[in-house]
This record gives sequence, C-alpha cells and structure tokens, in this order.
Amino acid sequence: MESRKRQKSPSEEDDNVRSLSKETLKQLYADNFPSVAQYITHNSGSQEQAKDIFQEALIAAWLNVSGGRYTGRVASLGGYIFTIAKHKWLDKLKSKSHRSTMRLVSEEVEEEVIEDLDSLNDNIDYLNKLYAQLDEKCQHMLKKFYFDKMSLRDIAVEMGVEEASLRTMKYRCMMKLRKMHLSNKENQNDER
Amino acid sequence: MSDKNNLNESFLEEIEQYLLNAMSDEDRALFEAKIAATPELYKEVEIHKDLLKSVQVGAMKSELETMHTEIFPEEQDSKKTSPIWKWSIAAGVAALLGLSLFVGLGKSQSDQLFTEHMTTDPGLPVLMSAYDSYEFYSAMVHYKQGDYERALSEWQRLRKFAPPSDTLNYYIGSAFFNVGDFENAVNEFRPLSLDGQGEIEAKSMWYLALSYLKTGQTDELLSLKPIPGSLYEAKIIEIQTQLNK
Repeated sequence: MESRKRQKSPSEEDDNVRSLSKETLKQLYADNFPSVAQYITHNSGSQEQAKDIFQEALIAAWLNVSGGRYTGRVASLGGYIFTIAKHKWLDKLKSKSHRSTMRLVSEEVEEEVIEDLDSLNDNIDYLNKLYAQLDEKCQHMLKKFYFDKMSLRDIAVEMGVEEASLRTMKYRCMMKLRKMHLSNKENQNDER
Repeated sequence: MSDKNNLNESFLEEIEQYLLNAMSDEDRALFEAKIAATPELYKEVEIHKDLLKSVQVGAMKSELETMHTEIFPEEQDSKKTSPIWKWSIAAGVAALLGLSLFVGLGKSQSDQLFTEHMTTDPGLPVLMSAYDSYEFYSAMVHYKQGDYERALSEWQRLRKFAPPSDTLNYYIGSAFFNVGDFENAVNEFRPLSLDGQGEIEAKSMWYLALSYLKTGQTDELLSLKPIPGSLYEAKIIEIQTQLNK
C-alpha cells in the first residue's frame, strides 16, 4: 500500500538526498516544468518537445540521485534539472543551431552535469524505447514488481492469477526484454 | 547457464537477488567472487543491470506522463486556446477598461495617447541574445503569469552577478513598465534604444515612448528618431504627430 507522507517542500528537505519520493518528484515537476517549457519554446521547440525533454531530464536527475552521482541538496535540484534539459535540447538543436548561448548561473553545477550527460541521455532514451517494445501485460507486471516493489503474491492477487503462473510470466517477460536488448546490441555492432 | 535467447530461471533469480540487494552478506561475497572468476556471468550481470534499468526508466516515464496530466490538466484544453491568446484577450480587456476609465475621467492628452497605444510585451522571445539560465526563465514564468513584481525582483537579483545583457535589461524595463514604475522603465529603455538598429532597440524605443507619455517627458518623446522600417516606426511617428497637434 502506498504510504501517505506529508509533502516536504525543498526548503524543509535541505540535506543531501539519496532518493526522491513520489511527492518530491511531483513537486519538482510542478515547480520546474514551466521554466524548462519557457526555455524550449523560446528556442524553436514545441510544448510537446518540452515535455519529453523535461521528463528525460527529470529521469536523469532521479537516476543520478538514486545512484549517488548527485550529491547536492533537494533545493538545488531545480537548477540541476534545468541544466540537464537545456543541455539535452541544445544537443538536439546542434545541427541547426547558430545561436551563441551565454552561461550565466549554476556554472559549477553545469560543468559537473555536462561531463557525463551525453551517455546518460542517450541511454535513457534507449532504455525507455526498449521497455516500450514490451507488450502491455509485461510492462504492467514488471512495473509492479521492479518499480512499485510489490510482491509477486500481491501482484498475483491484483491480476487474478496464480503466483506460480505469475513467476513464469515474469521470467518470460524478462527473457523477451533480454532478447530484444541483445538483438539491438547486435544491430548496433553491425552498424559500426 | 545461458544461450542467446534464454537464461536458466534459477540463474536469473540469483542475478536479480544480487542486483536487488536481496542476498545475505555471505552469499553476496560468494557471488561476487563467482562474477570475478566467470566472464560469462559478469556479462550476464551487466546485461541484467540494463534490463532492470530499462524497466525503471520506462515505468518512471509512464508515471511522469500521468503526473503531467494531473499537474497541468488545463494543457489539453489550452491546445485549443493557447496561453498567449488568453493573455492577449486579458490585455485587450484591460486596455478597453483602461481606455474607458481614462476617457471618462478626462485625463491629459499624454494619458489618452498612452491608453490608446499601450501594449504589453507578453514575454515572447527576443532573439538578439538568447538568455539561457534557469533563473531567467523561472522569472519569465512569473512575468508571463502577470506577476511582474516577482519577475522584476528575480531579474534584478540575477543582474547583480550575471554578465551584461540587453535581453535581461529589456525585460527588467518591461517589468518596471508593467508595475507602473515608468521612471525606472525610462532608465532601462533609454540606453537600449540608443544603441543599434535591431529588434530589441526598436522595442525598447517603443516602450520608452510610452513611458515618456506617462512621465510627461513630451520633449524627449518628440526628439526620438524611430528606427526606419521597424515595426514601431509608424506608431511612434503617429504619437509624435498627435502630440504636435
């Protein structure tokens, strides 16, 4: 069952973070999407593109927080996410970009962020597409188990199946994912 | 242990237990020794890390899609009516209200001209020098929502440590203009309007002219030389002509 915690504002949660609750993510989303959308729509992008870029930036920040690569405070995450989104958008525009950009703030954060962003961004895009290749049933099941951290027993009850069948289903879904991943890797190697 | 398409189920579970930190310290140490000694196992663990991350990323993406709809439910409708239109309509209504008020109260010629010609920069892009800081765009959100005082205070704070920028100065001027501090608006727009022939100079001169109407500096307004061919050339000349009548 989802715990109901009081929502913390960034100023209340001033210590270094190692994980982000759903409530904090939602707050970060509400607080920071408008700024990123402003930036992207001011720089040749659409609202839809702004949404995709922002979500990828938020996922990158979330992965970096949970992987211990972000060592700042929650209060600084807004600027961190903006920097990731900006970098990602400029990357997209690179081929047609002729605008000179001026770095103003968050210089220290920006330098740190950009160092390992390229591979991270590409990877997020790829990993999301890989998951999207799965059928809906597998997506639902794997999300419940690995993301929502529900037990197989609880998922089985929710889906109205036997726990043993669900275990087999989980195995098959993971094998499907593995097969697609290995095949993508092979294709990638062939292209090189 | 594994082939290209499949992996033994118990072997998969063992890898998962390791990656999901579900092993005892002792089992973990043993498993790590096995990984170090078995390149094939090492490879499988790396593959499985990617698979788990793929589920995490994909699941988070779907969560964020839901979150977006919850936080910005109006966005679906706004695809039909964009915020810019809303602001334009609001500005139009405000201008009409202002016009009737000013006419009704029999204000001076300058005030009437101001009301007649008044426009508000909606905060659309000024392309001359692209500002790309988080703080700038965060303040721009407040500006576009009509919270000019908050935008002004954030931009003024930004200016203290940011490199000089016409864009920033222009929007500080616009924020002063929109909170009705026309003296300070003049101070911001005047230097911008004198230096060059570009869009930002043209826009600055237009808002400088409007600010002059409010500060009563008609001589300064009459001495303005609009940038030829600019969007505002005809409008400034029209105000100057009306002032000269």
